[in-house]
Amino acid sequence: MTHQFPSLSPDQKKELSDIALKIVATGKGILAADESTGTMAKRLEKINVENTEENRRFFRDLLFSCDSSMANCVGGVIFFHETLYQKSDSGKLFPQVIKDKGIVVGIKVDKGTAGFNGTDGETTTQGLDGLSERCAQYKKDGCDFAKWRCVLKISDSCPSALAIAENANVLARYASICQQNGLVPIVEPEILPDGEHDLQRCQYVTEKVLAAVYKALSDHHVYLEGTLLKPNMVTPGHSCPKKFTPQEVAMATVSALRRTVPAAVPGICFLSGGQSEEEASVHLNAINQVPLHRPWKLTFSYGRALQASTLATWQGKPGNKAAAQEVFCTRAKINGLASKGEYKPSSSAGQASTQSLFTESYIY
Amino acid sequence: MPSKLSEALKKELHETALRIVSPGKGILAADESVGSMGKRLAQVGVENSEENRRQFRQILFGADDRINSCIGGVIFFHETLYQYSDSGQSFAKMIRDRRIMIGVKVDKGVVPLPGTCGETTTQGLDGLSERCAQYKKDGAVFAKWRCVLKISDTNPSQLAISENANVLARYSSICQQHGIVPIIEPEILPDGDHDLKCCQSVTEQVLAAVYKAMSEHHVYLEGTLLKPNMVTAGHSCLTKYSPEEVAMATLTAIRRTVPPAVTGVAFLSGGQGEEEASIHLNAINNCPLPKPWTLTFSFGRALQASALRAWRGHKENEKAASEQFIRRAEINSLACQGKYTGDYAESGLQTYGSIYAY
Repeated sequence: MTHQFPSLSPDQKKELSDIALKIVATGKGILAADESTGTMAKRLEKINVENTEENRRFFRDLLFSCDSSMANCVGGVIFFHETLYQKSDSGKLFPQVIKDKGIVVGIKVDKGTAGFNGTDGETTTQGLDGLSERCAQYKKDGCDFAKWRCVLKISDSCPSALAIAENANVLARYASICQQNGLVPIVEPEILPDGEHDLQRCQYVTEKVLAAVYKALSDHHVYLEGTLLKPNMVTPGHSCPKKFTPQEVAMATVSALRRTVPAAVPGICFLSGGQSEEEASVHLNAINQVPLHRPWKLTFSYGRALQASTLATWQGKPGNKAAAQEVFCTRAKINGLASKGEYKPSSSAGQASTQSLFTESYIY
Repeated sequence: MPSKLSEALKKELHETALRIVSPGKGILAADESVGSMGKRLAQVGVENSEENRRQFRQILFGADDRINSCIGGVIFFHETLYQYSDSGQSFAKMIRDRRIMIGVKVDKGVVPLPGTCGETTTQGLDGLSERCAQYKKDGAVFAKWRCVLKISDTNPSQLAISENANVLARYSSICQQHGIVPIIEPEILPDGDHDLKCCQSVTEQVLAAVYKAMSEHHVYLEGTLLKPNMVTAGHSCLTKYSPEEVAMATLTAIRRTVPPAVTGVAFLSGGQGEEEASIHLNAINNCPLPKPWTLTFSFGRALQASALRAWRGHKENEKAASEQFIRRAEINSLACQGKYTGDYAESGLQTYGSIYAY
């Protein structure tokens, strides 16, 4: 019971730790470009583009072949399996294109959610079968990190103790297997923003979920210094009638993380969920200005919040490629600044709203 | 979702915790029970009478102003909280007047866990709420509760870990209701021949369980302090480790388990000698890994041993005894800031080595 059977050698630990630190180097975050085929369909449908393999390839190529200065604000890119084996217009495999820019390549490895019997629509996530072999292959094919998404929701009865415990456990199993194969696991316990709950409720649930996640990681002997966390920010539910300022969101978020995420974790990369591009940047910026000690990097791992305008600019027309790339780079730069708390929204009204409403005395 | 502690109460708890572990300060653990005090006094040939216990605590509490910048809190045993100095001043008032926080040991000792190999839990929850309310009236602003675990082939068992974590969380929750900051002490004894790695592994498991329990019991972490063992090899381990190795193992374990929201970590000295404890504390504070909490001391023997030996129960030795205590307090004040050089610094053995070996 008390004997420790080493799961990783010092060299393996160093490799994992170095990868994690590289991904969340100061001013950098993650581009989540791992939309599954089905999810990509939804994105492309919005701009009336057909969901073909070529269109998916073209769009990812648009993102990945941006100017190499994108590496100043993007430390890692998460791929979907299909994309990992596609090539850019120049004939180079996408992982190589990304690596050549000094950006770390990651891969989504989960196989989607599966329902729990006896719960109110809650789920766990599958994908553990043969995961070790898949990870070994992904490592050979250029990946250095992985991502696995679990989903929880807030309602009168949710999240249940079962949902919390089971999702925490499956995240820990996934993380353990990744590390054995030299991949840094990004641990994503997303609590959906759907519902009418307020900020405090989301904070409370986030604290419970993260406490369970880190207990499970401890139980599974996961090397925390070689992991990253991808949580939701703490926000009110979409249908909550009360509005909260970016500073309130930031305080609630940082308080929750300080109470649950050990200092050994090198970086926390927020998901954007349903937030707009600007909202996600403003929130990230406020988080990096919270006057509380934050021992981990606090950055982004955005999908929609990095790509929405880019997609809208592209419209499926090759002629719009350069303009779309420019839009993407601008968004990436903004989030790079936000990850340092240095983003100043250009409109003066925007500036006022980020500076005037900080409630210093609120104890979260 | 129940809201347990008001904003005002949370603020009070947090500020108290911050005061106890202000920069350069730590805790004097003067809460030896009558039985424990008996052992200490026997070692210096002094009878274990209430008067002798009072006399010795008087030496500590009456030390001059030099300790005011070194001691943020004193942990009292129940009996001592209601004792008076020779001049008729209550010990509680003496301490409070020096702007040092008053704490009280509230547990009622260890009891066996049947079906385990000599493991224990700690009792004292019955009527704890009422006792806390009374202690608060009598001047206490923090409390301490000690759980004990040990390392062997079979220990600590899952039961011992989870039961002790749970009772610590119950105790913490009750204290906070009364505006009392709980010091959480899950001591893993140094008895045994296990090596440094083993102690680190066990410490990580125990602390992970402690903080999971704290979460389950809705304890407000900013209004707590942790009193853990440093990570050391067992007493009978043949391998010797440098202070830097002890520091790395300790800090790594804490970084992996103690949330940044916890205000301070005040190490117990266990069986360590006075100088050893100070050197270790200093090495911990100089260890090149980020530390989001204050790292200080909550020492009993490691602050009092020399003072006891100088006193030996004789009134004429009081000044000398007081000087010994003050000296240790000042050294630990430096150590908790990483500024204690001592004799050790000269040897140049200050490499911390690879962080990946832990």
